[in-house]
Amino acid sequence: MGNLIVDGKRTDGRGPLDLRPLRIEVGTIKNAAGSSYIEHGKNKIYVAVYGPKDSHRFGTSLERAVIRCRYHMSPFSTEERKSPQPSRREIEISKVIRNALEPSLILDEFPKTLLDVFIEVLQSDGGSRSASITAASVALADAGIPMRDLVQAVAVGKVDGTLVVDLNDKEDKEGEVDLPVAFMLNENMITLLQMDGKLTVDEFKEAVKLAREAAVKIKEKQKEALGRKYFGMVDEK
Amino acid sequence: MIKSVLPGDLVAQGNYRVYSNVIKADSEYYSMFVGKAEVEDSRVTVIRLSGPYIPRVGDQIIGMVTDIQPLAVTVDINSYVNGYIMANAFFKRRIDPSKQDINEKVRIGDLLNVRVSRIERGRDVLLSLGPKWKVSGDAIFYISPAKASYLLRSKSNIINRIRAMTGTGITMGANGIMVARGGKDSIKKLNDIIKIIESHNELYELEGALKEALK
Repeated sequence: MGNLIVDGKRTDGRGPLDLRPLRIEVGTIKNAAGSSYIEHGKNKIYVAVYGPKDSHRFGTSLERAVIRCRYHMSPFSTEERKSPQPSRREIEISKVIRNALEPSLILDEFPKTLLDVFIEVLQSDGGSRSASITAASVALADAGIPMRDLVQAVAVGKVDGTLVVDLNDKEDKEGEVDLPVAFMLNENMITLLQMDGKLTVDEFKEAVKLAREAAVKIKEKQKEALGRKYFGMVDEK
Repeated sequence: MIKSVLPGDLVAQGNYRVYSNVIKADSEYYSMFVGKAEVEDSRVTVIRLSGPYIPRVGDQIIGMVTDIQPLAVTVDINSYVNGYIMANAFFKRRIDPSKQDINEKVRIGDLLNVRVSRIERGRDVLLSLGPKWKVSGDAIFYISPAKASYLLRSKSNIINRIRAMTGTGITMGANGIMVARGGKDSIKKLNDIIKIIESHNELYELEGALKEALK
């Protein structure tokens, strides 16, 4: 601790409020109903959506589609090999991502069906859950699932006593606070908020404000990606 | 006015009598899909560019028989839900399953030209048979249901022009299943046209590309 910000620059050369490079592609997996690929910093993540499909399994709802979300890190995605079995962390993140996406989706159009969202992390950096949410929302839009708004997520943290946006792996592990937040900007709604560490009330308010500003930028990238696939240009509107 | 929209985009403000594929919040209408928004005098609608076939009563679709029971036939309609046809429909009267065998009328794998009659939440979709309900052909194509709906409602009657240009007989359903009849060359030409349709996501580009190919 104490050397993560030097002369106002973070370990990767960014300022405290800068986002890492972000690239999103849509329709990367042919067999999926909808798919996307995201590179956010060193994160490389594929998302594939299958369904909605008819289901008579236990746990399906007569009123709406049920989402099954699987977040998985490939064995080669981390510095040291990771067991391919789903870990406690992956099971938790799968649930967290599902909960972050569900408020944006209009699922009562598809009663008694299942919607599978597969998230495969090929290379992990800090903020893989946030990147996964951002990419999964785009993949769901690509699958034609009715939705209220796209969901964007970003982690804000506290490093060397300074609030920083979009934590990388080192800041995530060695920083004082990690605060992933997901937004539906149109509805002014937060669909995910987790916090690891301690912030004062004022710091917390400021952190959420910074996350919102970052989400606006991320939403632009989501729109560009969808626009490229469907309208053939970055911004036709 | 037509514009490209993404989920959550504001499509229109005001009071419109009819609206589809949008969410209404007070007097604002937001898109639920990636699509093309059409705003007219009293109507706001978004034409979806992706997604599964969502059955609507009255849709004319093509389905494949997947199961036959004494009183009903199950039909795959290229959707998240199956369709079914009551056995009576094939005989045009009430039947006694111990005396009449539905297998005489239909077999598993048969393609049927049907209409969506009734939709009940959480249940299979009830279908009815049209006058020429049995469809046969030399090739079957699956087109994205969103594009199929665009082709069928196109004012320039693209399907008829594809028929004339390729020399094929085409039966197409709103669920994206197209059955084609014709010689080897005609089917090959049609296959090329289908490739153009599948490779264009921008509907207005698609219309241009098809016009070019159909010249």
